Amino acid sequence: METIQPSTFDLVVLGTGLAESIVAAAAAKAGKSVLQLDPSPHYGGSWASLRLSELRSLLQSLSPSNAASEGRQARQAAASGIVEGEIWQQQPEADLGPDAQYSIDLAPKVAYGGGPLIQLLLGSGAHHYLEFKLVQGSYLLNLGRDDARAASQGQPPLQTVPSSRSDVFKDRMLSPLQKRSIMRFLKAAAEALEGQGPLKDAFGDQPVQELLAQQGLDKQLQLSVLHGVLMADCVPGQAPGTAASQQQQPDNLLPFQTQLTAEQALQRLRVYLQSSGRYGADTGPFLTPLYGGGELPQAFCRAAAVAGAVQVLRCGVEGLVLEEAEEGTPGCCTGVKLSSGQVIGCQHLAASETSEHLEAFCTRGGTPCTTLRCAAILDGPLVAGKQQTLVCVLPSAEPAAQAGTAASPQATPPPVVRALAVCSSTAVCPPGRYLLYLWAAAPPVGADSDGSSAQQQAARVLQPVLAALADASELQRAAAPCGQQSAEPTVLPAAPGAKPRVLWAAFYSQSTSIRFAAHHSSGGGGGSQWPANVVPCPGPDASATFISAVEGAKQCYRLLFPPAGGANVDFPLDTRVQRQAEQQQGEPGDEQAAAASGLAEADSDDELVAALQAALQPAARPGIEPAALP
Amino acid sequence: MHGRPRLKASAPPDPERVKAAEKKAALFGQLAGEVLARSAAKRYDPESLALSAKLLELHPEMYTGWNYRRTALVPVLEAGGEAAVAAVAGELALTQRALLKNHKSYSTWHHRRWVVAKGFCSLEHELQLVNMLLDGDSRNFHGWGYRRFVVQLMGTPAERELEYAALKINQNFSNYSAWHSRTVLLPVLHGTPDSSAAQAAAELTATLRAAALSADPADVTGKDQPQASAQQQQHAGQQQPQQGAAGPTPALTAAAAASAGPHVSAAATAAVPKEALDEEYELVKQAFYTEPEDQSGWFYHRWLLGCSLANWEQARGSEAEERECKALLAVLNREQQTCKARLLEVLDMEPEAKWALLTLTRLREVQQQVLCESGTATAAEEASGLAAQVVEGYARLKELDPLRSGYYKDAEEGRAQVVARPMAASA
Repeated sequence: METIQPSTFDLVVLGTGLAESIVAAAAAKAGKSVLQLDPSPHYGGSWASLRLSELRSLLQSLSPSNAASEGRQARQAAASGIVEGEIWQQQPEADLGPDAQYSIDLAPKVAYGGGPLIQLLLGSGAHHYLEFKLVQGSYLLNLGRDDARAASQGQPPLQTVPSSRSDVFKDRMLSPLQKRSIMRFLKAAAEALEGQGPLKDAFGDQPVQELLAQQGLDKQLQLSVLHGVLMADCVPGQAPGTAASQQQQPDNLLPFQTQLTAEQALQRLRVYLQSSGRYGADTGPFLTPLYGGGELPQAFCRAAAVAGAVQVLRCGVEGLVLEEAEEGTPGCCTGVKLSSGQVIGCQHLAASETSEHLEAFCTRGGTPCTTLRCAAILDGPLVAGKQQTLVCVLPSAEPAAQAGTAASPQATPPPVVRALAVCSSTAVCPPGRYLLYLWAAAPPVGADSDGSSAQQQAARVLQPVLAALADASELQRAAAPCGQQSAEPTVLPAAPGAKPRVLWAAFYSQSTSIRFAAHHSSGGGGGSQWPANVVPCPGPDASATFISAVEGAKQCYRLLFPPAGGANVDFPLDTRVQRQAEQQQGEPGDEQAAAASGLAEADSDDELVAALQAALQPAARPGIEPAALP
Repeated sequence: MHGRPRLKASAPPDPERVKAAEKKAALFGQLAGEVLARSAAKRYDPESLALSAKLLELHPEMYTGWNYRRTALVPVLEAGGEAAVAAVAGELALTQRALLKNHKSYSTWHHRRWVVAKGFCSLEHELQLVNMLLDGDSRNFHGWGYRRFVVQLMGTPAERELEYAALKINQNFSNYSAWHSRTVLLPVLHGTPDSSAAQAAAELTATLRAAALSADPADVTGKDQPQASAQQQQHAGQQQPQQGAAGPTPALTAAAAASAGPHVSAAATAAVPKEALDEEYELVKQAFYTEPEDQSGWFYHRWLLGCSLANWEQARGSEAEERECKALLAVLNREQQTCKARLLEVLDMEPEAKWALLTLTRLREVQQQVLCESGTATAAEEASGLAAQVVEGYARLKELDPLRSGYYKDAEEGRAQVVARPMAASA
């Protein structure tokens, strides 16, 4: 392998996941020398988009019998944070179409059209490398509702989440009064964000459900706003009266944020309202990238490269070069040793938190944060006539009974499940095939008193949801999952109706955020075990949007390069920073705009004058296209 | 286009810009003078026409330039053949370039209609173009008018167009043109079988061909508004664009306008049945509850009310009168409930609830008139109660909306039209 020149960098980044790539792009933009390494042959790490065959072999490599032969894939699985997985398919196997046309996200999410990710893309110039499609509909499926089960004979009763004014107008399931209350709430929230209107002081630290109820939103709308608009991800404090609200969640479990305060909700509403309607009067707030989410880290990598960063794929790292510090203080990472034997010196190190080289620093166990995921291939769209849709599935009250195992009394309620349906319109699968992603935060380990592995958990939690959304009756487990020889029937319960059929499904668990959380809980670098100049970058969590990943990446950058002027210094990729740079050159505001428009007018005037002169020139006249007249 | 901030007129004019503008004006004058001179000399040679094309491309507003071209085109189009096809293609390309410069140029749109009505081109292509325009700017009334013109030539069924209007309303219901489109289409759709849409279209095509020399776009380029707002337009002193000396054959023009305008066709005189109106009432109700401050829906509601009233008026003197009267009163009561529910909910916090209050007051006024005319003693009693409520309503409106207090005063004294009648009923 060729040696890398130069041999020292301000920042070495291990991994090409979204957060790593954002950190690399920001550092490069700020003028640091950056080297980004990834042992795998493609960009993306835990965020990659894979071909069907690649996902299949990745999951198969997790099976112990394959461990020896598929070492490379097993390492790749570990680098993607995938703990365990299994594949379910039809018997005989359905024709899934050309493998090369699949681009399946390991960690699907949606982007707010006016949210922080898009801002970063614009600020870094990475938007030139990407295209997005609008998510055309946002729905809520409440499996806990009584009438949901009654209606489950046919199509699932998907309720529209009012994501634009046009959605509210069109929907005929909402009553007029519901329409009025939701529109009034959203309008008042928009005013409150400007510091005006009847609710300007109403968004305090009370639970947001209280405020929603006060504003006259009924229970259905409260759930719709809470999960579909505010994107409250995990089991929230349920609306009063449901059994789940009585159960106390253990406090130390990070992902189970039970309450969203009104103040936090208002900040989420800001992003939501900025995004909704941004691309036309009837458009919702969410976007999904063409060719899959794996394009996002790549785009930031390119932006980093444009700013001078060096990226090397297929480049393994043997270990970190650590400098022993004095007794009792954490050391310092001075470099990395590559598989080629070369040693690269570095001032700072950022690494994907799934990197094995961070293991040594994680003596104190972090909070487990596993995301249960499912990628399914369907033969029809989830919602007729809509190509990209987002569904929030609220769990049924008795999950364990549905899954066929005994419910333990302490069992935490099952998590909120996100579903994203995409198809060939975003070039992620062949025409005629449809992708459906499901994901949810895993209930904390320990709640599973029967000791089942996380792998079974993914299928157990997500399979009933898959069956509720689509016809999974012909699906069978492809092979016995690792660690369990199952004798029980593996055919899923039948779900008749006009739903699309599931042809293939992968259930897997992705374990991320352990080291990131551990690092940050230890005081952001001041903790005992972490070298001061090493920061782990967060992997994909169970949230529906990219907000947490972007925030995590920004946090990492600030830990590596603490802003001199206090905490609120702008991130190098923020559009605001770009604008400030421009503003320093000229007086902003109306005058500048007027001057600019005057300039434009003058330009077109010149053209006009030239055109007029050309028209008047007798010599030019025969050259002008003559009308076909006698 | 909507939603674009108006540029501030900067106070002192820049002398350089003034100079540039003068130069531009002089050149324009020179070019326009040349074209007018050739027009006066009746010179229709290719060079002169190319010159006028250049002028119109740079400045599409010049009616005389278009008229000059039409006069030149007439013999070519009458002769037909390949020359006519090529000439039409040339005119379409020219108007397209001009419309890209100003997509609200009345004269350009009119010229394009005149050319398309001659045949010699693909209507499907025209429909595609206008669809693209309306996707980009869904409230461009020129586009809506042109679309109606094209689909009538094509003989597209009214149902399909009604669906298109519904699609656009679903995308953004704050769209006068789309609501207006429904006021045009519903009477056509529910017309008597012997005046089907296809026949109306055939008649229209024939008329247009006959009136080929006519240069008057009449109401077809008129600004779209539900007809309810016609009276407001008058208040505002708005006038239809004047042709001036442009129209060469006024008599023919009037005839063409009378029979070609979409809402004066034979089919339009048919009443819209109650069931269809109920669906529309339900549709527009969604707009009231989504965004009560948007006015377009309230105007459409006023047209619907006019239709309900027309159904009753048409039945007067016939045996259906009592039934129609009952139906009308039921509609009035139901719609009052809608307005009242809105009012109870919003009046204290939303000042724009004036639309609900105004509509409620108008509904009561109509109900009072209907009751008075039905003549029974109990009805008279009820009517006097309503009259008091009407006075009260207008008084409250004067407080809520002092800018329009004069209008409410007129309404209170019976000098404002309470409901907008459909064309046939008011004629």
